[in-house]
Amino acid sequence: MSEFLLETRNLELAYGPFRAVGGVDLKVRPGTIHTVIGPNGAGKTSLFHCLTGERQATAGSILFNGRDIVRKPSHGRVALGMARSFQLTSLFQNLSVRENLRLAAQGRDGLGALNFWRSVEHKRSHWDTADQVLERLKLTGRADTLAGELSHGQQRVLEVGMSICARPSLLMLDEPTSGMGIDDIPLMTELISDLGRDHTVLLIEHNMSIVMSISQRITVMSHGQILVEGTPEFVRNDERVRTAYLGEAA
Amino acid sequence: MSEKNPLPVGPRTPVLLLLVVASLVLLPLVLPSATLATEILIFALAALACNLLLGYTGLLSFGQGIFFGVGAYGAALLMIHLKWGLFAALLGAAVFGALLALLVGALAIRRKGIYFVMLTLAFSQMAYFLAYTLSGWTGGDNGLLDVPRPNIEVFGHVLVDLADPRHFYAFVALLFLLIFAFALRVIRSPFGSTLLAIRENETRAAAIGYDTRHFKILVFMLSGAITGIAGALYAMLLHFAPLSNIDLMMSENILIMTIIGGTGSLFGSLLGAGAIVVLGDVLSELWPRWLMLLGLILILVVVFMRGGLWGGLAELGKRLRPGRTLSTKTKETL
Repeated sequence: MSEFLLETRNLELAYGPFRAVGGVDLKVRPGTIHTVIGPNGAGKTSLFHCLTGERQATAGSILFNGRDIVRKPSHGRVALGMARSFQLTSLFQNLSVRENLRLAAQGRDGLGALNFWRSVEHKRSHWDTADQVLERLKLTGRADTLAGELSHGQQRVLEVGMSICARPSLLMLDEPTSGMGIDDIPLMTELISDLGRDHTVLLIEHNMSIVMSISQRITVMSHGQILVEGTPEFVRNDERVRTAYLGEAA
Repeated sequence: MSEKNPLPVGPRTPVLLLLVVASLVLLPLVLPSATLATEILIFALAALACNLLLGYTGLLSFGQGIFFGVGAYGAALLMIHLKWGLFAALLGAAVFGALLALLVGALAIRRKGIYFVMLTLAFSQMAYFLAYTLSGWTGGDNGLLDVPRPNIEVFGHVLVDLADPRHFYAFVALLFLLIFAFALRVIRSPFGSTLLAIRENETRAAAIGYDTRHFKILVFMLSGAITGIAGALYAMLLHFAPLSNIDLMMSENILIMTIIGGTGSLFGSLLGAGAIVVLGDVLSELWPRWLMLLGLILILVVVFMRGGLWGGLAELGKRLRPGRTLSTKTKETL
């Protein structure tokens, strides 16, 4: 076991001459909520895409549990213990909330999902996982509702909730509060800090104020590179962050 | 790919199978001939196989005619040249269908959406011209003549004489029931639930750990195998494998039956095939331009009855039995 659960070395994602991610060394310690923030266009989402496997990094490496996974396709990263949520809600809209979660639990099984001769009812553990997560998300009452019929806030909660069904060691959440109403945001930050007790969380966030309270570690990105990294306190008081980021917001 | 309408909610497995058995018994009684009833079941098999792709995985394939034609030619050639028996020929047709589907699927599935559809279309055209060109094997424009319909034999002893159209119907009906039950099991298995996930949201399915390409290729092969069997049965029924079996028109017909019957409902495929085959039989005698009416019906179904005939019937059933609550119904999707 290495010191870091996730580590990138000189990670780069270039679109032609433009380097959206230009040599990033990110180090995430196990058991922390680690947030990557930065103004629009800082390269947060591009970095996230490299980590999830949605995009192939053009250079550098990604070590997960000490193992280089930079060439692994996204579906192959789930079995290793990585899970993600989407910035734009991406659910199985016409399936029930419970089935959404059950499918996410089944996804970790790899070839087990190729079983075509047994009923889905047979595999109790997936249903149990789904029910436990339902409870944790406080969605038990809506288990049989179609995911597409949930309120927007509940859909965001389900979006994040699906990522814990595979019992990952690393949760990667892409702007989980995006598009949420101001009243729903405390609900989400509460959920994330709750999940942080069982999982290492890598959070991508645009809104700086909501991550200060829940993060142990914050990396600030700007122009595709890491600008500053440290505790929330340290980052808050850093002059460079103020100019690059807070200056813009203020 | 296909427009996403909510999945129709189906009855429980035993009820559904009972419904199928009842239909299989009734069909030859209400129709003028056993041959017509057999034709319905054969196309219902092809539509069911198409439904696995369109209704459950969200793949619109114009390649179904390839597998139908290959099943027909394959079984016919095995029976004519190698004197294969009934079951061996059907198995051969299933293997041919699955292998062709693997070939087409492995290439077409690299692309999504409209490009996938175009690739299946291109393969369909190629298969047609290949069959047309290889007239030494396929009979070209004239079709492959004198296709046998072997009896069910045990050690040279004839068990069931399939030359009798009623016997052949019974055989096809039994095979249909088996394949229907198998397909139902597949749909309600972890594999089938993953197909639905892919249909609903392929990106998310990949993100939660599924190698969606493998699933799509496998369901393509399953669909190809069932369609191949349907093609073989059709050649046995007609004693003839026409070139039109592998025509683009065949793919189109199979798709139309699937959509009219109801995508995402296996029983709907039986309804769709029944409706089109019977309509064709009745209307073509009344009016040679009956295909125009078929177009009209398709438009009406797509615009007003999104769940197809099955969806319409389910809606009717719901109105007649308002007591049933939603929660009991959402649990089991067909």
